[in-house]
Amino acid sequence: MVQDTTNNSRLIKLTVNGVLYERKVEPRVTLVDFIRGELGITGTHVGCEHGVCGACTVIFDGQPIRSCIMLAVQADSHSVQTVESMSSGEQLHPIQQAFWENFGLQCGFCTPGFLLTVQDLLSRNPDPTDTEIREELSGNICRCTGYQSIIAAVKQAAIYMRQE
Amino acid sequence: MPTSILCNEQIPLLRGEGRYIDDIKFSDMLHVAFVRSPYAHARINNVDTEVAKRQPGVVAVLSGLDIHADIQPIRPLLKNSGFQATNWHAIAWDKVRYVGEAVAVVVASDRYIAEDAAEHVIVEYEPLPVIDSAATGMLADSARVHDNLNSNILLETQSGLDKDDTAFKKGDIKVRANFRHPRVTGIPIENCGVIADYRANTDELVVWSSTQIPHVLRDALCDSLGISAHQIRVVAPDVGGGFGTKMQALPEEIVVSHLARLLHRPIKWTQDRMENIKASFHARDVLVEAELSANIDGTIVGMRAKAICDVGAYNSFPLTAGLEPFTIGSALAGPYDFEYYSYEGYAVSTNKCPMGAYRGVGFVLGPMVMEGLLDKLSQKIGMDPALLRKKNLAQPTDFPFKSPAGPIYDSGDYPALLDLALEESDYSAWRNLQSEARNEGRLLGIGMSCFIEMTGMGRDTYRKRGMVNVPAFDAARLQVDRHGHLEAFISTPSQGQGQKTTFAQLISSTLGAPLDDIKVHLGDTATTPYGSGTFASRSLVSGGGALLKAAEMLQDKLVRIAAAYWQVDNNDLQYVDGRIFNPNQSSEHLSLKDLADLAYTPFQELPPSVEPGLSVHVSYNPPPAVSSSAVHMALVEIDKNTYEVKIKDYVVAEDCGTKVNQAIVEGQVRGGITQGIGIALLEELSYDSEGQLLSGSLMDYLVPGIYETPAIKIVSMETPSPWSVGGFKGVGESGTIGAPATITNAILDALEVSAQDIQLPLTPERIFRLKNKTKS
Ligand code: FES
Ligand code: FES
Repeated sequence: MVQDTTNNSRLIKLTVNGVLYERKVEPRVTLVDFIRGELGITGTHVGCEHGVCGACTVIFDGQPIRSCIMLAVQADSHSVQTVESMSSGEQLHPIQQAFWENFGLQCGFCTPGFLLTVQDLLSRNPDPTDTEIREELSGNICRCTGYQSIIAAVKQAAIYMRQE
Repeated sequence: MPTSILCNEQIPLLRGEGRYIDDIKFSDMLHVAFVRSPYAHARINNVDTEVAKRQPGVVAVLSGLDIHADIQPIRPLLKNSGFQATNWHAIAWDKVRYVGEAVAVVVASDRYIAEDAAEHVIVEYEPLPVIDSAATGMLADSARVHDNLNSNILLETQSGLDKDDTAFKKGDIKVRANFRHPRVTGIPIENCGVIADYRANTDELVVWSSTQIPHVLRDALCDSLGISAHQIRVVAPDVGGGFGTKMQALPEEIVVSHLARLLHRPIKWTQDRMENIKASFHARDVLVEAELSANIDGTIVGMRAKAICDVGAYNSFPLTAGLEPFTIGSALAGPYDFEYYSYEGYAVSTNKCPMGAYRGVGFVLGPMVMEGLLDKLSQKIGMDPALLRKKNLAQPTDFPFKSPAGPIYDSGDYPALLDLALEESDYSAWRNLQSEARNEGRLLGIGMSCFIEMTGMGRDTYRKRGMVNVPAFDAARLQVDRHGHLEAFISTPSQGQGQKTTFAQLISSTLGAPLDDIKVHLGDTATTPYGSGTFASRSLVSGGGALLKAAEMLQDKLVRIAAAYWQVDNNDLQYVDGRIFNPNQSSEHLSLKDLADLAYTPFQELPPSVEPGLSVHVSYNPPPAVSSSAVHMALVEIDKNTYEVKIKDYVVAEDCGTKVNQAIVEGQVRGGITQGIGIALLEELSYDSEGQLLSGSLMDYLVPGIYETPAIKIVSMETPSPWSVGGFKGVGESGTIGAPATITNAILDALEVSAQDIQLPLTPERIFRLKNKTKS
């Protein structure tokens, strides 16, 4: 919990995964710290805090953004989706399912950022080529897999989603 | 086997329900931030914490002096006459020896406040001369990193220098070159972190850490805090990658544990990326000067090498600064058979961040040096590189094979592996492509490397090196509950390598139990038996070996229970596919559930030698080492204008003995190669002469993204190890070991130059220089 020592807090309202939250927050608190620390929704990860690794990717008003370089107050009256929004109950989202079946993750720390970036990609391009996948995922670092299984997973996910 | 069973442990990670260290929270938890030295070498004259302490939300601010009496320095030992121990204080109190070393810690209600208050700690430094490189540090009149030591050389090791070198001198041809491996670090996407919670009522300190070595970390905490192991429980929750960089005890882990005991509040520290790059563990930073002697027909006669390792300011726990020089010394001969070998290795302390392990350790230098020299030799004598290698590889009939460098390899078929790689890559087609490209003035090159990786090393190896702080064995506890369900507790935790699935597969195949009836527990000293942990590609060999032995012991017990039940002889019974048949009544059998029932309920009388219940604990000392082998081949093209390298094709032939899960093995190889590509082309921690780190963020320290990483073809052979239980050989580091050499050789081949003074990573600028120096 970020304690207000500067008496500078603003009241913000934002929707996270369909739930409206109203909180007081210091202007300097990053969106990812707010979501993880204040709201306790911890699926979004912090890998670098300087906008390079993509682990903190969330969907902001329908666009993937890096929540480590955005402030929570900037998200006032906006809507955010995190990885927790993907699966419905027990059922994995087809992208999650495809990552699982293709060993598209090892430690899983980068995974939420990849999943949401892929969700955005497939919403715009239901049948991406290898080159397009590389292009779109070039802002996400995975240090474990070597990416090949991630590319396979994206292609599989595209098939699953086209079948739906 | 080796079935690619999917990893159930990944389901929560996919849902965003993983529980990594930073996801763990307690209501009354405090957060810390460290004040770190901006100087590489300086005396600390004063640390004024008063203003910081007065900041709202701040609970405590402690300097090195404040904790000096309570915390013993990190001081790992090495039983070796060439070794010098160092005292590394968890918070520096008299001197700082690298940029980023902690000089004070702030405890506050949240991290933002702690970091703000850290700005108010005023430290008076008196700068001292900076030892900026191993070369400087080795000079007789160099300033010292540690005033109390005789020199800056923390370890000196040699082998074969006293041997008769007539053969080496007589060789027709000598080729020599220098190979520089950059200072790098693992960049696990999860940074390190620790939470400590002291429970006064039970006098128990619980430490959650992103560590690879829960039991050994507990040993380190005992030494530092002066308390007993039974007062400490270390838990590694989900860990977001380790790669060796999380296998050293961190000063921060010690400080946070101390603070929890002092303040009786849970304390959390989450490392940020800048801290991770600047002040967590670095690796390698090695220069190897090597010379190969050979005959005109291509037969290698001998090798001479000298390695100088810049190990930074302190020995790290548990491996010490000896890690690189020892490993390099045993790795340079690789899979080749020749007569003469001599080596000297030095670990030199400097005013840089301390060194730890990183995937591949000194084994990476093996192919970098040997394969580099072999290509140079092949150019000199005009022999095809593949043929030259084939001529010198140890033969399958040579095993156990004593490497010229000392270690004994258990098994393998290196020539067949090379053939496999040549076939899969279609080597002659690659050469054709190359001549076409050359005709068009394009820079296309082919690189290859044959290498071995010594894995799962047991007590003999660590004893020989004198590494007293590594137990070098692992252990498993396996139990069947009264309903026939299985639980295993194993000392080698996961940082994402899929151990839970692999281990469950082992149990399932040996005890004939469905995977759903098996649960594997890792990473908690309170539940798992004592053992080394996960590093040096040891999880399957050492932890899996212990588990297989436990399964065998359990089967033995099941047989004795069945024998008592049917009143027959033990020798007449066999546990197969989850049951035991009655030798006198073949329609009758006992399932695992039936046997569990007999073991747990008081109705079956058991012979005195059979204890009730079904639980076994096995410690396993793996062989000195089991050696997996691989051949890598790459086809690269260098852009003539930008000198950017594009890896057009990459082929791996690998042999890691018996496999359990093919997809997991391939994932290790691909991930490892990606990190090797980073070393070859991108990654470098560079310091200036004042000891300032110049590449402190992921914008300066570049790791391979999806663009830089090619699709990799993998073909496999299986030569089970005759030495390890299960025939396993480790494979966690193999990819990283082979890739830098393979890519370097491909680049040199594209440029048509031979190795002289190779400095990785081969950035466009360095490639430009390589090309134009030779042309002018
Ligand atoms: S944590 Fe935001 S991009 Fe790395
Ligand atoms: S799975 Fe570990 S960083 Fe991608």
